[in-house]
Amino acid sequence: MRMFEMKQSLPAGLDYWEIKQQENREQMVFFLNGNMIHNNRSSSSGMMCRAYQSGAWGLASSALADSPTLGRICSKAASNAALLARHRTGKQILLPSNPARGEYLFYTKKQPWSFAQRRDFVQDLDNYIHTKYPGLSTRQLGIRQDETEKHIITSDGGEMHVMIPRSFLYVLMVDKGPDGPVQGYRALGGFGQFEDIYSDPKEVYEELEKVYQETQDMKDTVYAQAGSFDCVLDSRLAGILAHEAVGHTTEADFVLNGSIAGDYLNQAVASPLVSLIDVAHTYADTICPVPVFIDDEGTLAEDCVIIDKGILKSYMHNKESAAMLGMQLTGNARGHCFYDEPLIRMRNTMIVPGKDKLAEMIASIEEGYYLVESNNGQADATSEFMFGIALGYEVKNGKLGKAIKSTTMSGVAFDLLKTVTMVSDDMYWTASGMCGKKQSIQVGMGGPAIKCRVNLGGK
Amino acid sequence: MEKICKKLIDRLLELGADKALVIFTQSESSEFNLIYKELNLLRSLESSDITINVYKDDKRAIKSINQIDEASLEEAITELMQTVAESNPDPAFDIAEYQEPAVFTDGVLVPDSELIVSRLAEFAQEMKDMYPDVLFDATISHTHSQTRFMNSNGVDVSIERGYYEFSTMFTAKKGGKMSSMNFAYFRASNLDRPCMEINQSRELIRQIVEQTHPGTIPQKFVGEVILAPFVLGDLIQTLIQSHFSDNALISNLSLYPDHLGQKLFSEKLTITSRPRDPHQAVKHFITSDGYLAREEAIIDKGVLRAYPIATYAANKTGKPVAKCHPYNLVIAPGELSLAEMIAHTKQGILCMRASHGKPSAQGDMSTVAKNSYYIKDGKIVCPVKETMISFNLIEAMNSIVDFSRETHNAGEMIMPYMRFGGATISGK
Repeated sequence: MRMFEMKQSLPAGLDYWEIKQQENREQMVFFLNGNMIHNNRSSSSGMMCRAYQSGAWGLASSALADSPTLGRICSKAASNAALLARHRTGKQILLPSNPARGEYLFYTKKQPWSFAQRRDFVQDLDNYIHTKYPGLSTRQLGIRQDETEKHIITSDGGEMHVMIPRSFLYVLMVDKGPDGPVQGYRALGGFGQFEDIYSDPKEVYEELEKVYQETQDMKDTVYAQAGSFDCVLDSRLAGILAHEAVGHTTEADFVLNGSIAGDYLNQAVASPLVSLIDVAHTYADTICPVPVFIDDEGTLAEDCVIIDKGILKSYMHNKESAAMLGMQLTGNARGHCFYDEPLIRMRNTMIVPGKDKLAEMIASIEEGYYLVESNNGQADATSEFMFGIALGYEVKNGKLGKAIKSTTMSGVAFDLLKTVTMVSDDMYWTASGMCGKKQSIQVGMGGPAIKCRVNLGGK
Repeated sequence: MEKICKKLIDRLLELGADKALVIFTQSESSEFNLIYKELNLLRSLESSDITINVYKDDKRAIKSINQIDEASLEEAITELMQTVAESNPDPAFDIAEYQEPAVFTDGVLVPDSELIVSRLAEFAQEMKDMYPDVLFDATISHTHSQTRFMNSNGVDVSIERGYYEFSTMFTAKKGGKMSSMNFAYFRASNLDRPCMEINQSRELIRQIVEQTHPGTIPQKFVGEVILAPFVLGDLIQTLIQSHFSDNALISNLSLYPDHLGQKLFSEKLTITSRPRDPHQAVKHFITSDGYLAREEAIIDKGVLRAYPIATYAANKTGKPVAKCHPYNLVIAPGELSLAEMIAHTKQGILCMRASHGKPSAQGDMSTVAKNSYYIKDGKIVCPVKETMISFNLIEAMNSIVDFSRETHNAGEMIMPYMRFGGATISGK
């Protein structure tokens, strides 16, 4: 990103403002059955000014990064705020402040790979799958790296320059089943540039074998029974449970718009075995998939303990919601592109691991299901949620049975979490997620396996 | 825009490219947001986007940028020529053949900001006066965009359009109980009518209040489902994506890879892509390749008539390039009103919103019925909670009972209500 001096065009007479310069970059190489079908790169950059005056916000943005444009968008943001302020009847609030300054640039310290090296890495894996699993009807492999670089200054003294990279390897295997195609899929990777995560294709072979076995399992599936069952949700599902089922209901803008979590502060909403945190950047001495050190309002980003041993303790905030609810800032204000306003967004939402072993959790179920992989999820203000289940297995008398056909699990989060009786001691981060809430944005989510009571769709 | 597109194509050919394609879009939008029931945020956005595709020796590379200064463009094409050289060949890569240049202009190109503020104020006032138990946000925006699509075979299409977009998200709290949230959304070429009066907006908001007190339904039964137009549109897109799209065909995920002309669904089902439909606010005039999009029945009386696929997938699978796309879809209305459809339903669910995962390749799926109602003996009994509908999407399209007279026009798709049988419904 070509850095630009932003302080020269500061708007005057405003209650608060922020100016952002941002570039989003992406590289993608995909192979389908040995053919390179995607070789794409993109970059999108520009500037944005957001102004706050008399209780209203104005925002203006442009892809151009020059001094006259910055002056123009700053004026436009201020006039937009003034225009709305004239139509408002609500009271004006004083925005709180906890500014921080810092630079966090996570460029790899290793020798960056050339395009040809990345291409050869994927091609090597493609050749391996083709040779090892010749019966597959389709194999699709790809790598994608996204980078978000931002420079933000705010009128209350916040300033940050960050570059956050994520890199992924995607694997899709398709085979012929008795009733048509069956598939196995995995997104591997997370925080860092590609060179930080991968060095040798052989390191991926074990995961490829798991994807292949799951594809084979899908050849002989049964319908799940419709109804309520004891289930073990694998650690691969824990993140989406934390994010969709609980996380969204505790975003303070949802709370202000009536989320059920607004009624439950400091009350028991889960089993005492359950603690849930939206981690700002570091957990267990390791950088999380989407680290946020300072948010897009220049606020110091701090961990937000949402549920502590079953008790709902806090919500996630931006400046406006913290002021309206009289609570502490948490540093959750984030915008995805240069032209996006900061919204309250989760960062790395996780359930804290417990002490149980996954095998013992499965063994404890008489009749139920082991649910492993989700392909999407949605939340509701009532805390009712649903996840699409792409991979799961029957459990009978403590033993795994056949795989089940695609289904949906649902529940009311604050009811379901009270049924949790076991929490495993492992931890899995899902790092490839994008959360859609007006803007699609990178999020991390994770957790251990949990045993609970779940509603399933089926026959 | 013309100058930049031409210059990029000429420069790429000069540098040794066999073929090139450039799509250049510039847009401005104004977005007025009601947040926490008050006018809260006004955004004014300007954006540019250039996507450059280069083809050389049966290889392809693509770069998208939003900087249009000379240095940025030159840097992009230099990088593209390097990466295309290191790409892998596939003879299926190609661009659209020559066609006569075309120019399209559609919609209101200049926003009426005062009208936007007035429509939002009117909406907020009715919400506060008539539905005091409802919490809501709402947004109205106007977007004006210009797109130039050019390739080295002489394809040259200009599109300039303007449209308004309304969305609202709402939930109700009453007597210590709360409803699920629901949404209303549309794109329109004008704001001549209040937002409440377009599609089912007012009815959805009325319903949200009674949904604070759902009833109990039988634990499990097999019954009929009436899908609301929004839900049907989503499932139709899913069906096309799963079996008739580029990815489904080239990844061997389709159950119907060579079924052109075959009857796959109920003869009551006709799905037509209507890219010039004057009733739709956002018309997709061209395909992703740049061909002028034709009006085409993808499914006609249950028979598959077209795979709406682009050049690469067509070449890869030996099928014709469709010159149609899976957008601006229309299902024609039926004879019965929604009220009559309900009256003819013995036992089932009126599904006003569906929260679901992807169906399996075989079409098996389950969805949570949100903002929905239990129907028994031809009458709405109560709103439901925590209710799951399990069915097979392909079987559902073969078990269509009827479509409603009422339709919903979201601006890019027009759908009626659809009733089908044989779904497993489980309540709590």
